[in-house]
Amino acid sequence: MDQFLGYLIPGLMLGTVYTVISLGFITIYRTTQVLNMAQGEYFLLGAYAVYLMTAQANTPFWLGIPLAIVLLALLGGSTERFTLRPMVGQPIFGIILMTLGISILLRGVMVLIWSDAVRPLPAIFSAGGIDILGITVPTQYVWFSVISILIFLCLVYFFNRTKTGLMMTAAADDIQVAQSCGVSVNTITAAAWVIASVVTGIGGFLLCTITGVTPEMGALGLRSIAVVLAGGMESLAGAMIMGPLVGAIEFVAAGYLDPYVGGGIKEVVAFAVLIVFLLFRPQGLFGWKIIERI
Amino acid sequence: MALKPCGVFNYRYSQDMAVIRTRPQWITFVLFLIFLGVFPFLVSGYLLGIAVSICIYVVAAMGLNLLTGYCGQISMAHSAFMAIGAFTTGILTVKLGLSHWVALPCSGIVAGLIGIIFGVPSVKVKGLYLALVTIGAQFLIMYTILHWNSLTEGVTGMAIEPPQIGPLSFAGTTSFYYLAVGVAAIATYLTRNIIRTKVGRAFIAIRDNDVAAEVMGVNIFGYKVLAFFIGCFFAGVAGWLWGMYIGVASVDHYNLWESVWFLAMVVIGGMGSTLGVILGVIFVEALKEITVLLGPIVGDAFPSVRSSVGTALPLLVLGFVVMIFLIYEPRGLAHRWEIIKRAYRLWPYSR
Repeated sequence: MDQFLGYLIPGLMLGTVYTVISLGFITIYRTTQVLNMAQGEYFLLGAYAVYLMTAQANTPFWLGIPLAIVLLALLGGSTERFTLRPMVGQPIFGIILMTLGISILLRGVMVLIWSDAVRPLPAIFSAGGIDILGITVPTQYVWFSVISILIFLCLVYFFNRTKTGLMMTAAADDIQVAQSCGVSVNTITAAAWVIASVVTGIGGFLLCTITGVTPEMGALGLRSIAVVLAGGMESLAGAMIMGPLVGAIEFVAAGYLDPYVGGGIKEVVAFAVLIVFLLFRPQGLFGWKIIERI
Repeated sequence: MALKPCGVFNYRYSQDMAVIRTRPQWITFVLFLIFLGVFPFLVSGYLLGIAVSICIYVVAAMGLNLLTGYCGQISMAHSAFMAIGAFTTGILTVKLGLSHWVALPCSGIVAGLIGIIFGVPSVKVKGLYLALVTIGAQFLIMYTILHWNSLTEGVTGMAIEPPQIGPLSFAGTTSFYYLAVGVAAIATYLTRNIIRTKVGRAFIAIRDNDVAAEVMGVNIFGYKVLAFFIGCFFAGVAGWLWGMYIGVASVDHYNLWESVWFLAMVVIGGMGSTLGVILGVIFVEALKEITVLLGPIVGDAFPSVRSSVGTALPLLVLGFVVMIFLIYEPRGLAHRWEIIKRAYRLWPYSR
């Protein structure tokens, strides 16, 4: 039992990283119906932007973080403006490939500037452990999951209580009706990209203060697609529930199965979850609509 | 098909059904065949190696074009299916000691059958969701291959001998080139003809409007599964070639990015066009080689990034090219070629 909890609890906590990346996916998807395959790269860029500001440009920490966020916002906005806006009206295939192109390009930029090496970020969480149900968990994990939940709550508030957020929800529901009610689609699409890249980037920065950052960590972005899908493509709550759940499944599977299959099962469990969900419940746990069947 | 050059008339049914219609087309075709035949004597080994990989990629991309370009089902696991072909060849020839020519259909069929497993969800889901299923397929397949040590030898892989026909061995690059060109030509011929049959028309109907296709009596489930089978069969055959060409079935060549490049080849060439696939493969491969050549030069120009430029430059250039194509020429090189051809025919009245 202790062993099980020992896998489960860190899994649940680090699983919130999927929640944060998924929130980015969902923000873009529910506003624009674009699934941004490059979300993992924005996650990395969040970490690299902070690295650039603090370690390379030597700005003080309190100034470096806001500057990094501004950089991310600019990047998200310009991605939308220069790559996705010309693609409006193109078939879904082209849009998927476009976001893949963005992800390859950004990966190239990151490898070019920061190479493959692990780059450490300034630690912001204190080291040490905390006892939860008899399991010692690093305090960093606790902080990380708490902040992820805070980000989630902020986004829920944003989508349900603020004007821009409601506009986005309206556009997601029916873009033509929203437009005729005076919602500027261009503005909210750009806003969605800015918010998504900032949110994901903050998640990346927070996780990478614990682990350091390499371009390889972009794989987290693809894995969190499983979370988005299982939770429902439009549902913030789905991401909040499925993120820790998939994290826990990964840790438990890695703990129990790795000795038998020779390691690395953590990297594929999420995709197995994805395929199971697509076969039996394609709209996810809390998705809005039954997807079209033929 | 319907538009013929001025002055060309069909008098017989066979003329109407011909792929190659006019005398200039025949001349170009024969010249192209001669060119392919003498190509190894014209160029160095380096270029010949590129030509071999182009031929192998053409086989795989033809399959992806049938699946994605004609049937409209996105597959982002194409390199994984290629890996299945390569490993099937390895298992059959190395472990079971069978002939390479037995392994040829087997690798295709195994890849096709596994493709069907992941294609069955395409009946329930489409578009975006299918892309996600196939991303999952890519990772699951490669994970299985990597970790099923007793069958696939995992990381080390299996060394595959070059094939032979009687005394004739395909060991050197030159002789392997003829094998690859032959397979690529057969693949092209098959694709070109599959799409003209009932099956191909059903694929196109499903791509254009699946509901309408179903109403008109096209068995959507059957044809989607068939499309996955044929597409992955081609990938498996390409894997058979690739495994023998590099002499080993190993996992490091078949990652998600390779699958993305296959999609990029089909899109850059032009979806739903046989000529486009060939153009796309040549374009992407040429670009890859150019970036490899440019890497050291850029590294010398900017010493601060010298260590990482080799990895980064292909990603940068190819990502950028894909994006440019999607924005400015979403219908690909084949469409551009059609425009040029039409302008040439109408000259001097074309714009």
